[in-house]
Amino acid sequence: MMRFESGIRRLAEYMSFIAGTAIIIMMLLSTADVLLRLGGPLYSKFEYWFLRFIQPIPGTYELVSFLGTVAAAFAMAHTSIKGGHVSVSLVTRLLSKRVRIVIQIITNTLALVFFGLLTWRSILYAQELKFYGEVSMTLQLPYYPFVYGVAFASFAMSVVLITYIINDIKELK
Amino acid sequence: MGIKRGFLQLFLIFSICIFLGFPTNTNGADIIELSYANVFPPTHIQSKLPEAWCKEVEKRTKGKVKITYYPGQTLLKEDKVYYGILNGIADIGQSVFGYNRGVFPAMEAFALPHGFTSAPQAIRVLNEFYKHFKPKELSRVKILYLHAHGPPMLHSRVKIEKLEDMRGLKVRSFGFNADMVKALGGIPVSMGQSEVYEALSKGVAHASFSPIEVLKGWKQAEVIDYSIEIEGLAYSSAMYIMMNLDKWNSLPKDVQEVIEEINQEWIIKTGEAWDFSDKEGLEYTLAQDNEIIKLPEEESKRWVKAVFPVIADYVARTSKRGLPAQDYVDFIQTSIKRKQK
Repeated sequence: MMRFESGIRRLAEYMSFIAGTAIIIMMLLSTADVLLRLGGPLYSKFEYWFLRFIQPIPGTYELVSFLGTVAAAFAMAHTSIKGGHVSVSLVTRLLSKRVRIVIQIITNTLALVFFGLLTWRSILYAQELKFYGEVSMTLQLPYYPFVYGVAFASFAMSVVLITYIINDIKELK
Repeated sequence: MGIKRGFLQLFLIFSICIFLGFPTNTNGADIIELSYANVFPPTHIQSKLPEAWCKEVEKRTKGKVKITYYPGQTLLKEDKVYYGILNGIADIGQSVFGYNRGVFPAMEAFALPHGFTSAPQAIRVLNEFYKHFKPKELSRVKILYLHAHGPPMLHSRVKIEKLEDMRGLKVRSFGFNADMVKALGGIPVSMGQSEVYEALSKGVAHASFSPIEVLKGWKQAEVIDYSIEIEGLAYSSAMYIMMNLDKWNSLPKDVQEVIEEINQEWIIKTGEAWDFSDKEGLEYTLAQDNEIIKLPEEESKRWVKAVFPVIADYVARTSKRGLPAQDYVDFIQTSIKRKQK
């Protein structure tokens, strides 16, 4: 169990690296896109030949939304392990420890059902997008690999939740 | 503490009871209930017309059919309407073919810059096109009717007077005309019409290709200063009203006939509505002190020439998928000319 748990923790950490990289690329891409817009007005003013090549990057709008998906999905598991997500303990902190653990098990089970559904439906959705051949509007990139990515990330999240539930049940005994 | 905790537990139990005991709806047995998802906002004329369509169906089937109407993407987002209908989330839906690029390769032929002159003409050509080819991509749904907008303009925050002004300019397009923007020297930014207002106001795009109707119908006159009219550079955007095929087949014969009859009337009404709303859009934008720039004939010709390769590109790209792309293009162009005679 310990080995399994440290394995999933390591996987979550690698995934959070991917998410972080996605955020950095997003930032660089949007900044570059905004700066490169100056190329058009500058060229019409000075008419240096090299200014002709300074142009905004096509498809930034789409790429940023794709990368946003990666950033959000791949950070989920790691965030949950680090306790970086929002949890409201307004009511539960008044209850005894045992009741609190029971409530935790219930919420984690509900979350497990949710992420299980998310995994399942994402796979179906990705298959559907692949079948109909949907591509993004400007760059014509296929959508389905990103949806498979979301499916994988929610599956990892489900596994993390399972380890929580097992640990909580152990603590109850 | 003890009293407080007991109170809280009672409160929790009470709220769970309320949550679980929420009344569930029961459906009437012999009334056919349908749902209709539209992407146009409720105040838009292309949302009022479908709403009237629903009422008309209810009236002429003498209450046998009841349609719940969801305007403004409240049930399905603009690029999810097709999948929503296939999966039965909505029974009927209206959206734009161009928002799902790659899914409708044949319908993309219609959106090329063929040089349409009015909305009714574009709609006539579109419906003839559909009847003639019956594209395979539309065989999974029941097409109720198709419509399209009239000649578009380039709505812009910056002054554009010649083709060179387009260089490096971020221009909003939808899926099917992104290549056209590229051919003109601009950088295409593709998005659905509902996102354009924000994109223009924040500078995500500096200009947008749309019929002039959007200036009123989608309030875009507030965020642009110029509308550039380029004669001859007229693509059109095909829109669909489709229905889940199984649901359609489950309808009684008489109801099907009534709906088909209403559809034929609505094709004409929709064309008139596009022309009418274009006129309204023009008045509205002039009242907002925006300028209309009509490019001189020679300049327009340069633009039309610049987008000419887009059609050949489309034919090459789509032929690879095993579709008679050249026939599509030829059919549309002869169909346009037929009316002009």
